[in-house]
Amino acid sequence: MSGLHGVGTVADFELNRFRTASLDGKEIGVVRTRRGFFAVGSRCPHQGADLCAGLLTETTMAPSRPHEYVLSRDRLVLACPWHRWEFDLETGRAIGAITRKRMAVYPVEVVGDDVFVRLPGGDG
Amino acid sequence: MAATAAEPLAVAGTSGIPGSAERSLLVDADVHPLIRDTSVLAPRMSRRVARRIFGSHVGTFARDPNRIPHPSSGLRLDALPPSGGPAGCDPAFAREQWLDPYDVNAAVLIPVQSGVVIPWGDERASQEFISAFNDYLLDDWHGLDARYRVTISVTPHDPAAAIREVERLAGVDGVVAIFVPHASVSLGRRQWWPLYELAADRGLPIVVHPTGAESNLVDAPWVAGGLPRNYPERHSLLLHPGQSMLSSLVFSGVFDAVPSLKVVLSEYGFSWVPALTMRMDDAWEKGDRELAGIERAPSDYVRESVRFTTQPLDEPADRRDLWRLLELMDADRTLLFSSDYPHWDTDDPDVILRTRLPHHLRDRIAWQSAVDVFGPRLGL
Repeated sequence: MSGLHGVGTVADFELNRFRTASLDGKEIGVVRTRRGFFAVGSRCPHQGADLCAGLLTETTMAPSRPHEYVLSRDRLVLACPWHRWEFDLETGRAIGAITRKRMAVYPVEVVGDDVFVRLPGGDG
Repeated sequence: MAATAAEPLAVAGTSGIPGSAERSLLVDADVHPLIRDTSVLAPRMSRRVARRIFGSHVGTFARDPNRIPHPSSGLRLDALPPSGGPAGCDPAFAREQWLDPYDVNAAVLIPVQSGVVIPWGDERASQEFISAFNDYLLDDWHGLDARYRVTISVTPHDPAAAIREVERLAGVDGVVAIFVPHASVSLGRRQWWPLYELAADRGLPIVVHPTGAESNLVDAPWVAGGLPRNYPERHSLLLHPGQSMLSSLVFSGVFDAVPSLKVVLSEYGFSWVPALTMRMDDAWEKGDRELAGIERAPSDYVRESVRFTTQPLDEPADRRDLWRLLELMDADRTLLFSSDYPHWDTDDPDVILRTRLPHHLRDRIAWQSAVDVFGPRLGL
């Protein structure tokens, strides 16, 4: 099943703390931040560690070329709890372009007090 | 919305399910226990030494400031035990998070925390701390779960005391190897040979492993060429002490003097082994009388007597590059799987064994070569 999936109410989400759900066969982590809600695939594309147990920062670096370190406070970055690969929370791109692999990201929609994650492939 | 059990995702190169790799057994040759507060060891020591170590102004964690810290943490962020304390301090939680889900049949505990004694000037304090440390791990880790097999530490300051410690514990169930916290003395030096003779006689491999003291603490080995400027640079160079130990051991002639000695160089990397052994072989051929005591080519001794561990696995873009290096180092007999749990760069056994290493080496690296070197002490 694809489309919109309810994942709770706004009050269910502690600031900057992931909650996980199994949606459409995928383990999804959803987090409320000061910049809004974000949803990611919880398994790191490197070795599969649980990204939702990682370090969410605001921020160390912006997405950039290898060996170009662009400091920024405009983006949220999620670091894997194992090898500290870092991903842009919004785009899923790896910081520093250390890998072409991306963290899976999904749109989140808030309707009233309800929070939904939109998975690809359906019109909801 | 409730948290759910992990389900497989279409993640390239991973199964997503711990323990799902096609293998029959798994020996993890590098797991790190940590004592949350080493003052719990005080009752196992003499009053003088306990006061010396844990007196009101000095604790074992009052070590020199780490000059090159990891930018976030040297430990896995998801391995903090619910009971509190740092990752690795709770053997029950480590069992729940690592041994059980990954079907680890034996976990070789390498207590690098004992390396805290390296800069100590008080040999007796060092020895008593080490003994208390060993007893604690045997009681609290192996005592909890027999899959935990303990690498007993010895003091790096006093070879005679190190021998007494091995004689005290060699017959104890759960003891699988001897960990020498590497201080600045080369391991091929003859002062260590009596320890090696005893180790070989009792069927105990010698294990060495970075302790965190490298390029950090007084009396520790240094990486070559000067002080690294940051953590990644130092981490990349931690192979230096491993290379030095390997050449020191081989060129000392100890493997001729103690043919059954086995040495495990853990977490120093391995992709450098073919290059160094080729160079050592060349030096041996041209060494003339300088190396008259070495009966065979260095690579022969390495193949026969030295083992390396997989973590941190080098991950070239084309994994066939790594496979070629594995062939050159006879990895079917010289390489042991290791995870480094719960450190920040833990390697997942299913990912490493199923997707990074060639299929025909899987069982050799996963457990068979570990059985060859540690023997029945693994309890398998």
